[in-house]
Amino acid sequence: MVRIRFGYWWWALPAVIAMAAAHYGATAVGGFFAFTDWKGLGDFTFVGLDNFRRVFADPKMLTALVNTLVLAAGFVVGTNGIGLLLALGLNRGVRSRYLLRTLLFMPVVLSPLAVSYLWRFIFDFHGPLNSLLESIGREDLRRIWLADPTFSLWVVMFVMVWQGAGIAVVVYLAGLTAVSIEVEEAAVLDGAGTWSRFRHIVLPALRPAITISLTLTIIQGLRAFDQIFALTGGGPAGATETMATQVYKQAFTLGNFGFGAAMALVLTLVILAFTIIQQSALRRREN
Amino acid sequence: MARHVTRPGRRWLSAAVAVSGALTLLAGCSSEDESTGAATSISLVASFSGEGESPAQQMAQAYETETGVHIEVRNVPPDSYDQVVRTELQGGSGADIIGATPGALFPTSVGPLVAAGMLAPVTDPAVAKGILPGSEHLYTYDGKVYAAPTSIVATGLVVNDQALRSAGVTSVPTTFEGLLDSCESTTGDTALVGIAGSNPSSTAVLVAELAANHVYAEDRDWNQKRAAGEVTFADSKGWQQVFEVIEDMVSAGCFQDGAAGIGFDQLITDLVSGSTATVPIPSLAAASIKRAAPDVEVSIHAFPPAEGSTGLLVAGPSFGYAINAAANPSHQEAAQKFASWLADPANAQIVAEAEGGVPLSVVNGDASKVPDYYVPVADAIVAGDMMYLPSYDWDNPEVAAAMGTGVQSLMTGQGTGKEALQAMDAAWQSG
Repeated sequence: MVRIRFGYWWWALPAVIAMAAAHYGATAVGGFFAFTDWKGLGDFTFVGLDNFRRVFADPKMLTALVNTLVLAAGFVVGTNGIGLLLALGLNRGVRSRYLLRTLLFMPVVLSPLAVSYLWRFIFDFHGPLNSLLESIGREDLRRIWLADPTFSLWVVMFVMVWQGAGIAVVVYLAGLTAVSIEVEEAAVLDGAGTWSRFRHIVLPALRPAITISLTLTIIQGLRAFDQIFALTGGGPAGATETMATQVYKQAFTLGNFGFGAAMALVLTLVILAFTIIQQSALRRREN
Repeated sequence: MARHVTRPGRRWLSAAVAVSGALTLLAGCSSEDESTGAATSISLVASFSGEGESPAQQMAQAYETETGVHIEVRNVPPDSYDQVVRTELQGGSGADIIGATPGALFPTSVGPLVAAGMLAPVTDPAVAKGILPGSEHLYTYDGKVYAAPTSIVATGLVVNDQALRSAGVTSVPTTFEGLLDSCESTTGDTALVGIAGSNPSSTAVLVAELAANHVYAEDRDWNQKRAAGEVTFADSKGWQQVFEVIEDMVSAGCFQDGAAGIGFDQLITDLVSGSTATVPIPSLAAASIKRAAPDVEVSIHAFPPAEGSTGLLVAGPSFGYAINAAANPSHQEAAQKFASWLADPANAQIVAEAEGGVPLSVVNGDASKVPDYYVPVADAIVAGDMMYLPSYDWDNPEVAAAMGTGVQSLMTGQGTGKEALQAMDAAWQSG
């Protein structure tokens, strides 16, 4: 019988402490400042829940919260929908699937800022998109895409989905390896159609992959910052402002560190709540 | 197995040799003169992004040539300047000399840094004397001066004269009505007025210039009244006119196509290339253009006031150098000497040339020292008939942000001028 020696577990203690200090310690300190009026310099005083009251009373913050949820929802639906379709298409059969997989994954490894600046150039009023519309005689469709209050949020969402879909493709491709070819072939022989096979064979096998992909994309969608910052900066006039961009502006541009920390805490709780709801909903369905 | 055993005495000796060697090396790199204890090298942080030497580096070079004291200049891009400087100061690793804007508007303006106890007073009375009349309060707190101003920057219309002529406009309009007429009659693809609509800081500059004409020309103490709660933005006739004027400019087609989505870099490119003839912007941009593209004819003009009314030029130092209270005493002393050097009228020309501004000594002084591209506003500057950027008096950056965003919402149809002014009042109350 192999005897497990007591003491192995604490060998990991230094790493656990370092990680806790770096992750949770820093978050706790940030959380502490959410209850102060600290401006990022000098002294501060405790203001209780004032910062949180301000978060929920300010109409700008409400707009930012709504935008955050809309962007996250669009991002989750877009990346997972497109990711799943592409994964199904590239799973078997296509000769160039390995090359296509690489190409589809490529945007994921690129810097979100670099990608966004590229798209910003494309969506510029004098950029290629409007030039293309003009060249095909659809001048009426030309617009200031990134400063149009109706379209700017959708443009940001499009860029986010374009860059994020690759990760969903990879997760779903990994999940599709669990689908048995024999079972699918048996289903074909039994006369099951494409939809029926997808619904009753592929989808159940993909559930773990769906759980992972949804969790990742919800978190990514709710905390989106880089693309918004590079494309619109939250404009025009707050039309694409999200909680993450507001946290940055309040804490680092306007010097309201305490208020920014309160917003960051609220954002963290929103992400936590959505992740828990989504996890428990999917787990219930799996059971 | 044989083991090499080091005796404790030898180990200590080795350690002592290593430490003394390190100390000798460090002494060689010391920033202080060994005999006098005076600092021979100090550090300075300033906001700058661009190619070539920054104004601070040029000043530092001139200072080193004259005094032998080296200034290690660190340029930080404007969009991260506040954050970087605050973090360094809070962590106790700030530069000896800190570039700070006058007043209280930004997190690294003189006021907030003094309030946080980060700055040491500038002791040379010559520095206080060099501050332009009417703007002393932007540098002075509790009777002590905390920053040495540099040169005068005019915030007006920077004009590409060639582009203006090619647009069919023979001279810069002197009245707002003339400007509107010119907007409607411009020929070709050149826009008369360029604006970086996606950048609230840029749109805020336009508002500040209009506010100078419509609000502060009549009442220079308007900010003090706002602080006392005697007036509000939304109820002020002058402030209402500011946003009405912007609506008129939008209607007259003054701004370039797609202005609401233009960024600052694109704006400058458009001005240099001539696709935009004029841009409401601080005159430092004109200086940069002169350096980068000497063939482009640029000039600086005051924003034209309404017919029959007197305008007010927005001009004054936009930058000052302050001393880090946490710097070691010898470095503080050296920083005080640098502040005195800045305040010396004999050096005003050097400072102005480095910055692309007008020497402070020009006010009530020698007009010949005004750079040629400042000539259209020279009389006002020499006579001291000007006002610093009005927002320097505000102690909440959210007011200025609401001002800039207000223009953006006006241009995109998301809001009205009245709503913009109400947002400015709300931001004022929250500060």
